[in-house]
Amino acid sequence: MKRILLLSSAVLLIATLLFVQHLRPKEVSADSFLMDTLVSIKVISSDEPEAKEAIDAALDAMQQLDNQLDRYENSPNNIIYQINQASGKEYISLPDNVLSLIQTALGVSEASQGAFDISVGVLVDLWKKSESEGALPSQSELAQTLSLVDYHAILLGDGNLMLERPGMSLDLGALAKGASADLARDTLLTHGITRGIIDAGGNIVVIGAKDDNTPWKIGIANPNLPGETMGFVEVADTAIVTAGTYQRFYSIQEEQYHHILSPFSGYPAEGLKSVTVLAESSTLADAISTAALVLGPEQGLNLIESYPGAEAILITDQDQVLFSSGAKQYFTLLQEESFYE
Amino acid sequence: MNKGSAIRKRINRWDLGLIVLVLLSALILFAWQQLQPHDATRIRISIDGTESYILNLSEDQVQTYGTTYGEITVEIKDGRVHMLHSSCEEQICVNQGFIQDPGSSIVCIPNQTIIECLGTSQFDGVSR
Repeated sequence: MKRILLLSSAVLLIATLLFVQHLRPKEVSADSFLMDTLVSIKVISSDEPEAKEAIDAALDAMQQLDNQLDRYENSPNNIIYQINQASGKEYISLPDNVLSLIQTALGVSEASQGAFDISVGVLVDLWKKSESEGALPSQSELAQTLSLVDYHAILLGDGNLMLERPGMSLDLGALAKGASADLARDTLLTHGITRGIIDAGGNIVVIGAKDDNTPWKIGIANPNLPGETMGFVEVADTAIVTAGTYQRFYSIQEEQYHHILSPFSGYPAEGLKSVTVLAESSTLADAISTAALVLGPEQGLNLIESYPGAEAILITDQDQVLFSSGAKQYFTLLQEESFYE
Repeated sequence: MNKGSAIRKRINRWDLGLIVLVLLSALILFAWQQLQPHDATRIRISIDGTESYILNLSEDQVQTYGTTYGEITVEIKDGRVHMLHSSCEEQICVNQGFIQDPGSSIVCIPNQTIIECLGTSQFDGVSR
């Protein structure tokens, strides 16, 4: 009798442990090829079906935004394509979400005095053409193209928009992934998710903390060896976005020209290899990281300081590591001293 | 009657055997979990979301795979892996260079290919 009691207690204990294990929050994740990149979403939840539903909803929302912002695809929902087609001709009505994005972009254009400019589409097209023809753009081509890159000529009306000059072209590539990651976060929050991480091709947004006492640990790519990390930040409820000169290139006459183009010179920006921004909004972090990279070390740092709540880690062309005033508290450097300022 | 003999009387050798069995089972389960490979020495190549190949990072090798959109060539050298060639236009995957840390990955969008170093990463994500 005593033995049966002992055995029953052991079985009951094991069953209780298994049940508790089942109730423990689990990691639920999914990947999808979206926006010309790999998007990964991972959430921590004790309700697995609800978590899967939330992730699916977030990926759907990202896909819809991608459809709206892709300037190359002619589809009924593609607002940017329609705006570009109507440049110099007519106003196009904007959905609220696109209006809000363009307002954010124009705000960063003002703050950076044009270093960030979403009317850069025609310049991007020129460099793509140069790559396919195997010859650098000529000075006259650059001058002609830069006359069509001007955020002042993006005319915002009452819920609508027109590009003032024919031939102008919007390209929201410099903040589309950031906006998409923000949208995914908002969708997950609406579905009751309180802890998770969204990785939109290296644009990261973390929701909550990893657990009650542990922040998320996010590596920052080494611009000299992009497959490795040069350090990490430990954060909660934050977007972490890096603009770098080491990922996408135009290959012309066996030379590589990085893809972040200066709206001032028309050439790839110089002075910084990467800018990593921490901010509440991924959209803003995406835009100001690009703007800072175009502005260079000194003015770039000043721009970041002008945004309360934003912090940044900048790597110069000489491998100096520069920090905004509050960034050091989040950051740990992994590389050797020579990398450091 | 002292305390020791009272306990001995309540727990006979069958009870002791049962306790030892439960403890031993727990120990074996723990040891099994600990001895699972942490996989820092292997990579997985996923193509088109359907095919998947596991390669050993300790064996230097060059492998070429066909994809729906073209072809990729992966090289493993000195415990690290990189995309040696890719038929894609932008060459982002090739430019990324070598990876070796568990959890790190190289992605080629046009070829729908992911190369991952298996194992638990020290990071929850990497901003790039």
